[in-house]
Amino acid sequence: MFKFISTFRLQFLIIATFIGLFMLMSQTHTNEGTSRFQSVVQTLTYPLQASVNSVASTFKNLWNSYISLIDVNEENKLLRQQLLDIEEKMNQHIENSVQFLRLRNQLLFASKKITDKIFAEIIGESADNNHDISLINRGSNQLVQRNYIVLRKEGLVGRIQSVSPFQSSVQLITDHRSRVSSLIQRNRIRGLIYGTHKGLEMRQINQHANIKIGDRVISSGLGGLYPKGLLIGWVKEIRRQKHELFKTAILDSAVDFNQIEEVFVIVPSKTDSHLFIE
Amino acid sequence: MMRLFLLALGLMLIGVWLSIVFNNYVQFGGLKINWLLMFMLILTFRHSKLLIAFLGMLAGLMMDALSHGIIGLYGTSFFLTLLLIIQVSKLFYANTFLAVSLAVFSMSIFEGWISLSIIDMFEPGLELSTNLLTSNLPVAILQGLMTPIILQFVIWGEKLFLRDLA
Repeated sequence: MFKFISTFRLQFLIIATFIGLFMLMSQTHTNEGTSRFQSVVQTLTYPLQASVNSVASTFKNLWNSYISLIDVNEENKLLRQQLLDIEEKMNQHIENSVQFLRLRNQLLFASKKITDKIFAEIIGESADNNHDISLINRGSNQLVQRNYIVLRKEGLVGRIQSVSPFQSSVQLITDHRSRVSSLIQRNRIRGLIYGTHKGLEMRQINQHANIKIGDRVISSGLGGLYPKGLLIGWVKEIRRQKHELFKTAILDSAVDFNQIEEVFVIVPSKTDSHLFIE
Repeated sequence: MMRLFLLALGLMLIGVWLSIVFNNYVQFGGLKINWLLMFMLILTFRHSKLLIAFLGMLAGLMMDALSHGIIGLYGTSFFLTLLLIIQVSKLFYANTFLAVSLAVFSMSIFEGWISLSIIDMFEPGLELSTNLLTSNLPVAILQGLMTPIILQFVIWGEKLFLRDLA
């Protein structure tokens, strides 16, 4: 037996490696959390990513400031004219906004939820082509936790997938694993947003549902992960086939995922914390 | 052997650097070149040592940590691809730029197919054939086109580290 093992030790080593790798894969897939190995690699690569990102941003800003100096005189004249128009409009808006603020404060008082936002910069993205993951420069040291929601003012970006001390990975809603329960804002028709790597699709819409191109799509709050009312996008195209039970809407996402540089991580209030328990 | 190990490790670290920094700023048609895989493929084609296959597995694990959550996915696909190369390179010898480019192209497709199949196994919903055509194939072509440059770099590294072997 020992002789057999020693004769085929190389083959045994290779088979043992494969078994080890499959066990590792199954374990990390079942746990769906941040593995220690991932945390170590991300912690080690963070200084490099953060420093390069910082240098690149500085150069980008310098270049942009140089570009903006060109044609500055003509732009200045145009802006002065626009300023006069805007001042006139502003007077009207001030009057409207006073009224708006008063009414909004009344409404907020009724449904107040204390949530903190953590500002984060995007410092990298997934190393492969198969996943839509972005890396942000906030991690467990800044109290970021798995499944926290990531937003921009334009709309929903994704959720925190894994956390290491200095950085976290964000699973974008365009990732093929992402599912967001959603509804059409106009008539509350429900569907499920699937990430398709290239964009977003709202599937499982009733075949007879009345949806139109340009309809706003928001999160429905079902499922507990994403809060209700976050803007996801607009209907761009509707696909339906007679033999299918459901129809599909192709969406224009509210967030331009190729352009995002900063995001907000939403820290849920204590009353919402049950939503984030794994 | 130790020198080869150090060279492979060095190239692996350069691959990691290119993957996490260079790929963020330079993408061809929105596609990211798999630098780690390229270095490991070229090195295995030139040396056919099991050691490189194991280092390739480590490179794959690093790729896993830098891309998604399932640790071991790219580790398996890299290891399997490099083992296949070791067997293939026993059958014929080819070390010209064109031959290595074609070999990198075909092996990139093989690795992509393996990794996408495993992803499909763990993460249902992935459109395997679409991904193979729209992502894996163009990346394999890109990697094939980039091969001469990387091969030249690897040869330069070999001259520096393995003077007596190169």
